[in-house]
Amino acid sequence: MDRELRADRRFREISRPMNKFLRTFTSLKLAVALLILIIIGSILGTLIPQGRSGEDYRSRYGRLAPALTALQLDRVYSSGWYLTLLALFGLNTVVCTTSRLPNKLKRARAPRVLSEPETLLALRRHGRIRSGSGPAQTRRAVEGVLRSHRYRIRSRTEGARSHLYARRNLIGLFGSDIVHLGLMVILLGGIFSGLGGSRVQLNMIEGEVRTIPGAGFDLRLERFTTEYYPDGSVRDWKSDLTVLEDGRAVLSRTIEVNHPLSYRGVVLYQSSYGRDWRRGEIELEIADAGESPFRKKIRMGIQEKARIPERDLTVSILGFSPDFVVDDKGRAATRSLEPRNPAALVELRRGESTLFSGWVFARFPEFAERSAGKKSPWSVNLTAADAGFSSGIQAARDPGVPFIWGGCALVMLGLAAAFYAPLREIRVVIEENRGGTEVTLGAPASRARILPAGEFDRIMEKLRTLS
Amino acid sequence: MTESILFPAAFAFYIGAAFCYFLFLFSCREKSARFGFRLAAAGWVVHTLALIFRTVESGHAPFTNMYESLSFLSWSAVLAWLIVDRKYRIKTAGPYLMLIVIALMALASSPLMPSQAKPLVPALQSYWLWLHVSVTLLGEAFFAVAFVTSLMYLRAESRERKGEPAKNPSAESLDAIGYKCVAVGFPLFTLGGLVFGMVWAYKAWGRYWSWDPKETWSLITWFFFALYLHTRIVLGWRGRRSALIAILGFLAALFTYFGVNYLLSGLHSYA
Repeated sequence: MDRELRADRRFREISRPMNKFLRTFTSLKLAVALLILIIIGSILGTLIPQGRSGEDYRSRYGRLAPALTALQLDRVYSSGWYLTLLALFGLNTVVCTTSRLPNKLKRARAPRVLSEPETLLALRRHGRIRSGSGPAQTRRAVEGVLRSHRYRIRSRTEGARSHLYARRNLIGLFGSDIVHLGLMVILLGGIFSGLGGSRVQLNMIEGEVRTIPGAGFDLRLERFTTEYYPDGSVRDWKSDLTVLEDGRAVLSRTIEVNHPLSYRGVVLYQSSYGRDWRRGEIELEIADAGESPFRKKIRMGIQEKARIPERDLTVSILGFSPDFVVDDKGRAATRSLEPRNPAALVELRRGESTLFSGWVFARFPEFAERSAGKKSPWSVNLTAADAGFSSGIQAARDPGVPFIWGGCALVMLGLAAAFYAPLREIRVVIEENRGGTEVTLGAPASRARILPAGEFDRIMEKLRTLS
Repeated sequence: MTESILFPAAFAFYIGAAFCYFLFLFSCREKSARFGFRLAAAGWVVHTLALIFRTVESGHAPFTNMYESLSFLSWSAVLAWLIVDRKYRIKTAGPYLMLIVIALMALASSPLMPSQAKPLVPALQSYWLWLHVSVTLLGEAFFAVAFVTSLMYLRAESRERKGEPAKNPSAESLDAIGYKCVAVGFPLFTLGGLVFGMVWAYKAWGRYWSWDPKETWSLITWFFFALYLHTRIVLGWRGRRSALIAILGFLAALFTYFGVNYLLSGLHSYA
């Protein structure tokens, strides 16, 4: 007995803070605090560049960089603390919503019909009229007016008093719950996307066949076209695709920007375009300004070697950059895949001796910088560089997407219900009084609702003309 | 060419409207406020024609660059103002709202914003451009009206606290009108900015959400107004605190619209 009592007391000691914790957790104050923290976290993620290299952060933030990465501020939106905030917020929303639901359901199913005239007169909107006709007739008239405003009426007669409870837009009462449900479905969709989603970027050239990992089909790019406006800017990119199953063509479709193809749960997007420089071609002008002048233009692949038998020369391309820049380490690099500033590192040899070696630039022939054969009369010019386009196709599988759209639909339905069709209630008491009938009306104007002053006033006006 | 005449004409009407509203503010003559309203309405009609001509001439939706979207935002703000003023009669907010409209129009006409219509880049060729931008900016226009009434609330409230007689509209009604504007704007902003934005992103880029600064900032804006609604409806916050959240919310919306393009573009590789 004694032991049981002690155990009971201990249990209560534990449960008291537990209860307190639960109460805090279900409170809207926590929701507000979480919302503020999420706002701050989201802002941080937009101010600090995300997903860069450690080196980049060191050069940008110096000694703060390690702290930054430790706090996962380099990837806020996938960081443990941000996701925890979102999860807590979701949990809090669920708890808050469900804890309020029973009361709302009760209010929807069995609303209180009885009311005191004095309480009605204390409501935000209220009115009282006297009618010369009897109570029954007056009640029918009042009900008629309310029905004409699409109110549904419940009534109860208690003694000499008739009580009416009229309402419309019942769905407005549940608007916020529908929104919260929708948000939870969206969060769930986000989790599914995060866990089960995958995407691959394929850079394909015409005729290429690629296997989509895990999708059970292959993809062949038949044709890739770029359409231009008259002023030369790009109008559209289009890829003619064929879906292959076990080598058999099962579907042919053209995809373009904004018009993806969905096949077997995989969505194929025209996401970018590139140039296939591995198969690029350049044109070089090779000249000898020495005693026996010689000049020749040759076209060659970027990864090939060329021979000029007349002069027993070998030309090799040691490096190529379509949009030449020098990176911060002093190395040659490319800014883009477009031939904006094509440059090639060319070596010209005869036997063992190097006649020319250095970078040559199509746009700046005078910059040709030779690193070997400085005294040789040979010169090399880059006169053209081109490569076919490759189509950038993204293959995405995202199991969360149906949830996202479902959730969005619920959110919008709920918002429309809560704000554009808010619940409206009017309570009426009809009683016989000094030979006439007295009608008292009251409508609560809760802070949640936008009850246009107009409607209640219009109803009152109609009732006044009746009496 | 027609648009280049109609747009300045609308601008002139708005300036006239602002002038009348300010005249009303200092002289308190009802007549000038009524005239201001009429000028704003006339300007809005001319502006509507300008947008229609722009659409016909360029062959695409009139919000594909900063000039066009600024013009459309001003148009939406005037529309929101005409609706709110018609319904709640808060003409003293007129001068301030027209001032915002004039600032937007001036920014649109400044040489910083090339007004020349350019052919649409592939990613913008979608009917979602219409749905996404127009509904979002319409929602933001209502936030702009809530911003003005919230600022006016703060002033009216401090005046009433000092014991000065309440002017019309009272602080309380400004607070209520601010709420009503948010209640109209919030569903629009959610639909246009977030839902339509996600659908379009999914169609064009293959993912409905990628945490780019524009997306994140529109979510932040949404959070601000969600905070406004919850603290108000459930915790019963009113007045100063509510007004401050509405002001911050509109500033977040503005930052989403301008700031992300001009201030964060240096840090991020997005256009």
